[in-house]
Amino acid sequence: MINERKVRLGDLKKGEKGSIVEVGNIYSSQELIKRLLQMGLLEGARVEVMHEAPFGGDPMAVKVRGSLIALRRSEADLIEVLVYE
Amino acid sequence: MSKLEPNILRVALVGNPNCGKTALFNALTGGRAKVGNYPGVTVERKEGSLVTLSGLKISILDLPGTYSLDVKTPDELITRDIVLGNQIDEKIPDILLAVVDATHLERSLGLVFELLTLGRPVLLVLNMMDLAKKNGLDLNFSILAHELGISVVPTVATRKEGMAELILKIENLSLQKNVSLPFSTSWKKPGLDEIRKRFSDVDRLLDLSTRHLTYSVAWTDRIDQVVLHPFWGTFLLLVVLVFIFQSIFTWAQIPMDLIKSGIIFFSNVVAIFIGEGPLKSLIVDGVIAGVGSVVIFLPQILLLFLFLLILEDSGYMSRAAFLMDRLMGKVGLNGRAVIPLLSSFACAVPGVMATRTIENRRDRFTTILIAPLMTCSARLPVYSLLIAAFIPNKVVFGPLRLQGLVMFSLYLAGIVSALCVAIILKSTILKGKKPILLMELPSYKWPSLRNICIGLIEKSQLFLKRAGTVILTVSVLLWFLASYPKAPAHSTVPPISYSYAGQIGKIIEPWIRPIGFNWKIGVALIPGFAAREVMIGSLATVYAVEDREHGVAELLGSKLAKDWSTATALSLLVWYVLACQCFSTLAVTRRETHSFRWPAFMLLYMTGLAYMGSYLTYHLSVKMGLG
Amino acid sequence: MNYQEEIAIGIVLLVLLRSISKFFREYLAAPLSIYLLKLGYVKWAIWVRKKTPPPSVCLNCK
Repeated sequence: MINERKVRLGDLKKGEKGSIVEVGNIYSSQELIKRLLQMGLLEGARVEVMHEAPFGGDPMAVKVRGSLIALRRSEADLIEVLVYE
Repeated sequence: MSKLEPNILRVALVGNPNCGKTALFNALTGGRAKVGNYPGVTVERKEGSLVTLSGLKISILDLPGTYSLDVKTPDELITRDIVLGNQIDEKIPDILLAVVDATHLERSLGLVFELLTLGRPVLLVLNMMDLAKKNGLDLNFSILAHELGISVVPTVATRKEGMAELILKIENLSLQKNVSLPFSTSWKKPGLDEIRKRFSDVDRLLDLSTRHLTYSVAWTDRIDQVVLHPFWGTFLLLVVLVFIFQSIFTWAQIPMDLIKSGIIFFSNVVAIFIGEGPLKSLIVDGVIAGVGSVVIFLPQILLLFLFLLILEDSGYMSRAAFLMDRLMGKVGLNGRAVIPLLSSFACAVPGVMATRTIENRRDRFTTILIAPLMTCSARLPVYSLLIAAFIPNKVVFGPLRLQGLVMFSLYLAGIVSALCVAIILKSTILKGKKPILLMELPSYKWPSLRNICIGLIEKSQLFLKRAGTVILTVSVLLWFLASYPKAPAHSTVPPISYSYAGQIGKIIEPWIRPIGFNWKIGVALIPGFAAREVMIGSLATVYAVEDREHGVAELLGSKLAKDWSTATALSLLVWYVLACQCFSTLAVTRRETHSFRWPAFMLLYMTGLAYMGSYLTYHLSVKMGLG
Repeated sequence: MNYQEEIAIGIVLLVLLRSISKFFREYLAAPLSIYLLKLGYVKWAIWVRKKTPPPSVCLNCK
């Protein structure tokens, strides 16, 4: 049985992966959403958490569309991910 | 200049960061570039040129890397404005070379689609084809070219492969369409949905033209298992930083000593040639000594830039920023500030120049402003002299001796004050929202030796040119101040007390007496402004110590020990930790911040800080009985 | 001794003049020309404007 759950990217740990369902909401900075999209973090893209920084696991590094992107967890919180285990 | 010649073909390189634009630029222009600044901003403008076999003159403009045209940071804005023809004093480029990293097509092609909407002539350059092919990229160029409607050229810029074809295609393109369109293109800010659509267009295109997409990230991932490991990664970073710091100190010593003996030899030759007199003094004591004190730092600066270029080129730099982001963020600094601050331990001048890697303006300026507080190597001679003369070599605990401890605490004081100032700056005048980190960690690649050499030559030329001319001017003028008016024939006082410099020293004496300084120290601080170590020579001059080959330091030391109290010496040490006794640092700060405001602020705040520190130290020491 | 002194002072003056003119060109010329324009002295404004330096440094360029 496939276990699915919706989480924010900022809550994921190293090694977890999923696909992006939603980027941003009405409360978030349009500028940040734009940059996230431009970097390839868009709906439908598959994302995997590759690394977490020392001293607290923030920022994090994820692989998406073939590139390794580093971002803070506060920035990653704008992205909702469907995780399959 | 290319801006004025009408028959030159203007080509601009546009692409993501880390796509090899610089390598392409070097391959096309042979590394020869005109470097400057765009008006009003600190963004660097790099232009080169080449002449084709058929005699067509082409100017190549290397634009700052960007992921899209819809951006906010100053260098990305420059790229957009130039591409649209909205930049002042810049003619719109005739042809755009869209440079793309062939191993990251999924992400890079977005920008290409954006450029195509502009209606300007575009050529697609697929760079790093060697890596792509090695990883099994199977791409049909003709389908790609057909779908996009433009020519496609595969290249390996670091090996200069594909250049001939590229230049040919550029020429063809210039003949085909009427490239000098006089009007600026229209461009609307894309909405979020348009960005999403653009990427689905990219996916569709890749489905059609590629049978196997690759990413050169396989070995990148493997390396990152160590490099980005929370423990081992940090450990490795520490090792790298210590290595850089250590080698700048030790490896640079030999060439530095060589340069030093060269300078001494040269001044002896000049002295013999010209003979005693003011001219010889001007040239030997003024010009050669002054400019020499700058040139002597060239090995350290070259070494530092060598490391910086290797780190940047290989892709490690952004990972260092990633690892240090949290820690540096606690003091309000950018992760990328680690390396410039560390290099300032050798010399603040290259440290300030190294802050170019920090894109955020506020973070960058904060780092520049605190860099001089890191105990630079030029302070060491002064520290050694004063500690040897005034601090007894008592044993504190086991192998620890008082002298070493004092030296260490001076270093520590520098670091602590730098961090404190950073916190203050970031919560007051350089206050701002924490900038978005969101950045790409590029795949690792072998740094290209060719690019590094070209980069080194460029940086050292800039350094020598700028710092050299400024120091030359200052040395000449200071020499004049210190030598005139001359002392009367039968005076017993050292001649410097009669000069303008001496007079200035006497004038400022009442201001510096509260911190324990006398007028002689005041005088010596003035030429010490040109370069920190020069202060020792000036002190020697003021105390009329004769300049024998060796032994000036010990002689001066014992003279000072008789004339000063320990409190004065401690006060001077603290002054040296905090004060801005370096004209070169101010000069390079002016260049990097492109205004007078910041170096003036640097001078003011550091002087204020130094005064407070010296005041406290002096009076505290007097209270403790050292006065 | 005398001729040496003359040459030395001469060099100092040259350096001083050069640094003053550089300072003028880089920082004062542009605002000065704008000010002259406001006052109506167009010809002088153009003359001053011609003295401002070009924006780039040439490294190895052809």
